[in-house]
Amino acid sequence: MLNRRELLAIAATVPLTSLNAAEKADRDRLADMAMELAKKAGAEYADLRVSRYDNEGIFTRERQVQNVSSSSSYGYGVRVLKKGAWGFSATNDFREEALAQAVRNAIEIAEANGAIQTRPVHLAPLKAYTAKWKSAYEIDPFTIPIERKVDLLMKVNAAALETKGVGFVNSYVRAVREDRYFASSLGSRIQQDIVRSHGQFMVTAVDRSKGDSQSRRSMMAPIQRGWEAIEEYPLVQEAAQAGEEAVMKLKAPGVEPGVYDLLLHPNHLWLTIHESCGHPTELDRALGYEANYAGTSFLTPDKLGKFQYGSKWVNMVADRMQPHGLATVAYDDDGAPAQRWYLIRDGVFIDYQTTREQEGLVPGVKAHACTHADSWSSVVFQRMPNVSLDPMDSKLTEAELLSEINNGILILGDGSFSIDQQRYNFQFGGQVFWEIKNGKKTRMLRDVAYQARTPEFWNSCDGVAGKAEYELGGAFNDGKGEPPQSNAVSHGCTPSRFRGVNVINTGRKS
Amino acid sequence: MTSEQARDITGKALKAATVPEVEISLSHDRHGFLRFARNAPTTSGLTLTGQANVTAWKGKRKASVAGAVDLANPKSAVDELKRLVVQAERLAAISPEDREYLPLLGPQKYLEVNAYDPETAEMTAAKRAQHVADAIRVANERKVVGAGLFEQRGSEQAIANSAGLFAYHRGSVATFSITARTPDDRGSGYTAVSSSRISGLDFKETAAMAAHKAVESRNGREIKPEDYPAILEPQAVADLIGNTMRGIVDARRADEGRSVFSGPDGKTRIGERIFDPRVTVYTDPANRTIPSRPFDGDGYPIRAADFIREGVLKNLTYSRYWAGRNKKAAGPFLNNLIMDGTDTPLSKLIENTERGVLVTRLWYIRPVDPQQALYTGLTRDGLFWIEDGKIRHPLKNFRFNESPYRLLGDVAEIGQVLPVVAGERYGDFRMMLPALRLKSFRFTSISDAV
Repeated sequence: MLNRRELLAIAATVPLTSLNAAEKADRDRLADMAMELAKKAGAEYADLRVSRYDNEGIFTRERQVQNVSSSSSYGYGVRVLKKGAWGFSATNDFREEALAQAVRNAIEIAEANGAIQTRPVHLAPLKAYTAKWKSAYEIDPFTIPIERKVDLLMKVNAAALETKGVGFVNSYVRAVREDRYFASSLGSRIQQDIVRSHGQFMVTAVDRSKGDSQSRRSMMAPIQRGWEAIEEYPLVQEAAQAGEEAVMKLKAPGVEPGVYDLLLHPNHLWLTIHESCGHPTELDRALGYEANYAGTSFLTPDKLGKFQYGSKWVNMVADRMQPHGLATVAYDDDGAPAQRWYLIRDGVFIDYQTTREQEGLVPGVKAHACTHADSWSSVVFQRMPNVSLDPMDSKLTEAELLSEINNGILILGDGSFSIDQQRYNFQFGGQVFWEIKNGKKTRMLRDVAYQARTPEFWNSCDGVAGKAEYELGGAFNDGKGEPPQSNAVSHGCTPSRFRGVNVINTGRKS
Repeated sequence: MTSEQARDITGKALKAATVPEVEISLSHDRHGFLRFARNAPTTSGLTLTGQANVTAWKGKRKASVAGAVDLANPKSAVDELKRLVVQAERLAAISPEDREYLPLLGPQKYLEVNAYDPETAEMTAAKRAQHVADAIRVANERKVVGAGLFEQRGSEQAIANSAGLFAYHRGSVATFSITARTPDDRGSGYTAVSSSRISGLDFKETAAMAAHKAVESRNGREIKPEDYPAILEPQAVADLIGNTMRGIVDARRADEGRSVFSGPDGKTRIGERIFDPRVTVYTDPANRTIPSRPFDGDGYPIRAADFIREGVLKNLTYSRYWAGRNKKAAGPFLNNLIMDGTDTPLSKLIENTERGVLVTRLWYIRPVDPQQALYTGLTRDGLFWIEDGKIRHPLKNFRFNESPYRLLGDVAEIGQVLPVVAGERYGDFRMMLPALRLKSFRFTSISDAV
């Protein structure tokens, strides 16, 4: 076994073309080299991420398969901190001269940025960790034969098409596997393996005589689990129901615009949580780091600890350790252990999502291990943990919440969504809307969307159901940052009630 | 990756195929970026990436695989491509038959597009920092807080298949955007510029424009949300029309009755005068200001083509399959979008407005009802009230629910064209669009966001 010095001496001559995901020992060797080169070049800190991302998707429409696709991406990124400024470089060239060049590129960037840096980066203290972690799953979705996946999707499509009036159905199953290695100049060496799965369909009914069409998507949430999650979910039964509901929507009356009480199901409310709590509690947004793209936040540091964000029912917990949460890890991309902490407690805004370098930017705000990059070729920055509405010790049920609504709407599934750049004004649609009259679910409505201002909306919450009705929703593709990156994140909650919310009719006759 | 290298690499990999039909696409990218916020650099990097997509057909069975490929190292690239070809063949063998199977395209002729500038593609970190420093200096001088992104990219893309098709494109692009905010967080302005050549960007001027908007937009007044006459600056037109256009010109959706361009009795609305007669929208990959790749993902040639000519819907995009089934020509596909303008400057559009709203940027635009192309979204980074031909005061932001296709039928006046990049970026889709003075624009609620 060569020591570091000997390895560096031969760095310019020996190609590492054999390096691949199976040869994980080589990653330590690569890390040692990168750390040594960065240190020699004057870096105060350095880290290396070597990652492989596998994606598989089977896509169908009606009675045919549109595509079977498989992708794999493998490479590494080197990050250095020199004189208080960051530099980063990434490549999928595994030859040692390419690694040396990547370190030089990162150093060159740090030096160039250092010349115009006004406040040096300060990193909170962190220990070194050596660890291996694997996300919880039973059946690796990549081991399931394609025929079986196609068979399931064909059954889904057939079930949807059984209803007269259904014209189209698209469906897919997707599997994601991430093999992520992290090493830092602190001495950390961390290996994490993550698997995620998702099944989805969209059924469309068309009434050509009226020039109208209505769609209904599946409410299955993507999840950090294996194939077992797709098998457990009743996709075929839901497709049959969705076909009927898409046709019902064509004939349903449009909602009368006005003020309604809303009963929001977890398969809908997760997205409202994501947009109106997940994003505004990001410290980088609150401080202006995302001003040019995603925006800033109305939850500015002066509101910390005193702003009544919601009613006493509103307890928002950030959790990167939540079982099966899409953003769940053991360590973030700074090599810091995952945490669980409250952002909103008894309705009061009390904390932010933060990273190692953000500790101390706002007095009293600690680092919460939210550093993440979506690829080996992407630079790390602050990304969202799983953020959920904690039902605490509520004993209420969805049925009880519904029974106390005189004039309201039950909304299921996520639909159209839009929110302003400070996360005040939002508008959300859904998949299925049921009118509630005098405590009873009555008829289907269509063209429903609610518009609200975030604090008023969450302060109008007057009941969340208990833990027994808790569900996780989420998405594979939450966008943020420049150049844009995608993050998988979950949001859990129980059926929840909101009083006096403004509902608009999005139909063409409105 | 030169054209010769791409041809050599793909040729060797195609020779190794055991099925008659294989398609390989390669992309090689050198991407440098520097982000800044609070008038200082934040994240930045240089990424060198190679990517390959391989699709194999075994009979009518089709599968695609993709992987990172080290294109800087041709031998390794050929080995990796051969591995992907084998993987695609294996996957195709167990995939169901593609009912929309089409034979591969043979050799094609492409437009010559000059889209590459070495100075733009191969910039140093020091040069990037210098450009951003110029912008930050302006922000400091104007006493605003700047956040933004400067990125430059040099890329090569190639497609080759076993039927003899070979397509190659090389391009560069530099994009700079800045949001300036007043220190009290009561005003915000945004400007973005993009060019195939770095010499086409003026960092100081761009920063100064954003700073001006930020200062002028301080303390926006609240007015009732309702329908108002409005002027959309080219950036706002790009945000609304540019981004929605590409998704909605799909002919198949229109034929299936699921689009705003669906006509009665299973027909489309091609040939109808749907828009104002002054509206002409087209694509042209050889446009000198916004050159783009002259072929689509299968190597199908892209040429200049109209979508709307003098208010008449001229074309929708037919995929090769859907074209064959409907006995139409495939395309037109588009990698850029141009709308004809006039010589009328923005100042003149304002002068011609009795009362209305000046919109500088739109944001978070999402579909609400695809059937009527209804979208919701918000104004952002500078909204102003115009009365008697003059900007009178800034406004609080609005949410809107509007159909860009209704708006193009309700145009009062068309202004000058500018090259623009949509704020919510979807790839590097570039556009040249004019400012539009519209008879009415539907604002539905107030947003407190600045």
